[in-house]
Amino acid sequence: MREIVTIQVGQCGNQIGRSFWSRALHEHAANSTYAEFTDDGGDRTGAVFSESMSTFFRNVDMTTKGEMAPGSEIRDLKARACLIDMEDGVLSETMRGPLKDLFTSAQVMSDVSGAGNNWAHGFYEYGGQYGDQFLELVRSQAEPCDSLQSFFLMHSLGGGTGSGLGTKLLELLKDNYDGIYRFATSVLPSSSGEGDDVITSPYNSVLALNQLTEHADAVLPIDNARLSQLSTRISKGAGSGGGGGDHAAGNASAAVKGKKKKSARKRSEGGAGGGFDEMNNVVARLLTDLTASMRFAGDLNTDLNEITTNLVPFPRMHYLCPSLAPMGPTTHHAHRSNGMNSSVLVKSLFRDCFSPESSLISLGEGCNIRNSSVLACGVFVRGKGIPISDVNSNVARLQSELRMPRWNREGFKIGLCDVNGLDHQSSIMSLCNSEIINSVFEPLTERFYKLYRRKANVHHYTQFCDGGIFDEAIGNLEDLIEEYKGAGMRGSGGGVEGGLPPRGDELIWDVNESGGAGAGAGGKRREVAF
Amino acid sequence: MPTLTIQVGQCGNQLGSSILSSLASPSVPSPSSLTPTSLSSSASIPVPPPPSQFFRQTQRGTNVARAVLVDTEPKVVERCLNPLDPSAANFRYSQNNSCIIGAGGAANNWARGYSSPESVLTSTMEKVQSELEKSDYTPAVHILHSCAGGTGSGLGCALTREYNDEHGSKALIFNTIITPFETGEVIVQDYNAALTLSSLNDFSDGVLCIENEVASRACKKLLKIEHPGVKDLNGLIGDSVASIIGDSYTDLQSFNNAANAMQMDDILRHMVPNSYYKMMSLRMVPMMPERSVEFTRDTWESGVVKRLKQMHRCGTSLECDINWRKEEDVGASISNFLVLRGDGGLPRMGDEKRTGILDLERRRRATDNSTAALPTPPPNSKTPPKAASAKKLPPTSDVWSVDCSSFSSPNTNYVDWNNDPFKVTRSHVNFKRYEKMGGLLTNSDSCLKLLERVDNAKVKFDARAYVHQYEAYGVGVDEFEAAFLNLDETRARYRNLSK
Repeated sequence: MREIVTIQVGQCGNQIGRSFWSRALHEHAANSTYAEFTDDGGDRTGAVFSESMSTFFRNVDMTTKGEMAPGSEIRDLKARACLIDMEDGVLSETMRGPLKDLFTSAQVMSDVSGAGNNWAHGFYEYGGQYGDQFLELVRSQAEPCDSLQSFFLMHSLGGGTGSGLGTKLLELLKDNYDGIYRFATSVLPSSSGEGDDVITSPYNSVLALNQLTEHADAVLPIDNARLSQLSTRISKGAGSGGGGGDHAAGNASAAVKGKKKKSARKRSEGGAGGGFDEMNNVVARLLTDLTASMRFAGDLNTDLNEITTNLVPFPRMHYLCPSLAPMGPTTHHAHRSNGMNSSVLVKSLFRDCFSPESSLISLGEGCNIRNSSVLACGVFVRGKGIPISDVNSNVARLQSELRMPRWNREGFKIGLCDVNGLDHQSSIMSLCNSEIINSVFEPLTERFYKLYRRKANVHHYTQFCDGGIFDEAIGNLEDLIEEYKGAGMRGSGGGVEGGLPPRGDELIWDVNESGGAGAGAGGKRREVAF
Repeated sequence: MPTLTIQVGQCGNQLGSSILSSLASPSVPSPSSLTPTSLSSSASIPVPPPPSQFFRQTQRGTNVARAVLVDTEPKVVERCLNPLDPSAANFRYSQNNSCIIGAGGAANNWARGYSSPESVLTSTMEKVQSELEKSDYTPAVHILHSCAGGTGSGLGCALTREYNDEHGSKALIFNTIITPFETGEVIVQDYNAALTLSSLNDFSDGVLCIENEVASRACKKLLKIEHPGVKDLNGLIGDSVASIIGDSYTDLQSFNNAANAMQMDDILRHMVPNSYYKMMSLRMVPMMPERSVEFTRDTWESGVVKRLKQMHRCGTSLECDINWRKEEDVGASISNFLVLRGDGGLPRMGDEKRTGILDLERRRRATDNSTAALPTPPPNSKTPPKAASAKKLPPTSDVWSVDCSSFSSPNTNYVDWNNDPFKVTRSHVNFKRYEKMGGLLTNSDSCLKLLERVDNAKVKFDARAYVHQYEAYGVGVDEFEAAFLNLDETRARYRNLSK
């Protein structure tokens, strides 16, 4: 009914894509339904291609090549995806790997030479060369959709292909599919520069951000350094049990159909290694959680386009910083049935989610969500039987604790989904449109200037474009930083008003204090008559 | 005369099925009268059919709602059409009367829902037309939607406008809207609510506003549900709305002639005598947990009418917020409409102690044969209980003679330009499990508190936050300003009522 076409560009984008698709498959496999089908002369039970599956997948009858509507039996699942890379390696791995049945070769667009970690090469050279082919590819994916809702771009900003070609494609989408939202999941290079082996990554990132600010409807920024920290923590916590890593195993459509084949090629990603797997898995979880509420039933369904409407108060300020809780695969959250009462559980989920540990971007020294101004915030809860009143009371508490601007005191969007994710019985994801994004932008600006002052490597870029783009891009980013700083003050009267003065990063909520949560919501509010 | 229900969006559809199921649910004899005899013979008590105003009966006797379901996604509508437990459903929707608009959703954006393409509106109005054609004349339509999201609010307003264009000259439009929690769900809800209210001011004939916040408080404080879910809220709101709009009669004579039931358009004409004042609010007593119902004995005067009066006086919608010290009406009302239901004609076991009923019943069921000694309750027929139980019941318990003069002028402060400000209608058919219940529909300045929330939208607007999203769908700065002006005028008018 409401489809999303995924566009994965570059090495990073395609690796994330792989994790994402295997996770999406497993999630639907865990929630699949069966029915009797009578055709081919016999009755048999088959897995149903459900409405919720149709968001990400197509069901194709390979003999007639026809699309099958939701409600039909699963024949051949195909991902609604465009796989794009200017190198061959990762893509051919995907096409040989356990997910190969999910894609046809017509969904792949590749070259052999790569973009040489050069944004301009990707944006101008490949963008010009492959633009038409790309639009044709998108058309082939968009046409079978009943009501295409958005494009999901997965890419990284540090390199050349994902960053350059990725943002070019975004621009093409904007020109050709106006009104269909463009979500970008953008992996930024580590802000300190540590562990970043691409010298030109500050250039590429700033130039790509310039495009993202203009052409995306929403960007979920993720920080590479933060991801690797998190994945280390997760794999330590997971012990030998293994986190989501082995989701990649198993024949894709077989898993959904319920007959698990023993094609146990774990860690088939070859050289990628466990760490990368885990990192990609975190991003994959973010994306599945983000779309859970539109795919599955829940008390408060949230569509992707609602997220944009609610969390983007000003068109350029569409950077939504994600957090996930719980982060490790086995925490006490997983065992809610063991006597944990729902309000305590929800409270602890909220506490974890709004602590700096859960953020998917690196926060600067002393910077945290509680002492930065928050323009708007989305909270998306997954899990069976989580009462809306518990969520509301926690949101009410946050509203008084965070520094919300005067014009957006109630700036919370809530989504509730009944179907839990793969790793946890209940989990929560938040997207914060907040000044904290500056703790990614500001160090990036510094790193950019370190290179740009010496005009280092600029000549590689000017082969493809005018050098003025550098000044334009950094100017745009600096403006954005200022806008984020001043956004809380907009409107007459001005002034950021929160309930409480910032409290530093100490934890404010005591999980063990139970029962009181309900009163928080009703107590403070003024009463209104029917 | 039939009334068409149009339910729009997730909230509208959930609410609609809740209201209709309340309307269709058979009255339960007051619990205290559930003696073993009546339990065993309950099948023989004729159950009144659901109000024909809202349902039509098929030849096989199934009740089909006169309703059209509209949404941008199939999930909720699907649930309405095919309930999880079809045997428990007391009515059904016509499968043809649903309209799923696959325009990708309204994205919580009023402007996006309101500016739905012509084709969407046409196809919905076709469904409406085909339902209208099933009866000779439909003098009123009941449109249900939220005012927080985009589908319900925007599309709901667009359909109200369309209906007004096409049928406005011969039918009245009653909108029931749910106003959002002050916290959350949707950030741009204040914008959506302001645009909704202003648009309904132009195209609707009467707007009943129900606040989610209040319903939630009622669930917590009165129904003692610790963590009320969406279902609980809808159930409560469904009951309150149904208590007002369900069949009720001005007197016993008209009760005996069922064609005289109060109709939606009658209610509207009474409630909105002047099109400058369209905002209504709703109160209902009692609200209590199911388990307490059978332990409750109230008289009509002190238990129902007096409480409603005091709630009206204080401007509160919940019993628990009543301030009994207030002795004068603060604000002025334009009109009031009171509905009393109950005393289903079954004698009560007046002699027994309240707490003993269950025990007693259990014991009796065990020693089955002793039932012969009990008075046999007369069937729940259309004859009033008066004669049968006159001796047992105190005179005040008869719904047809309850004194409601506290709501008449001058006991209640009304504006001087309305000649007929108060109407009471009754029915002795019990409302669900309640032995006695009263609902009050008010058009008064108590809507001001709700209108004040528009200020939140203005603050947002001053910062021009989110305006770009609305501009993309044709609601720009000018349209916002016009809407604010419209609401400011409404507010000023209501504020001046009591001056």
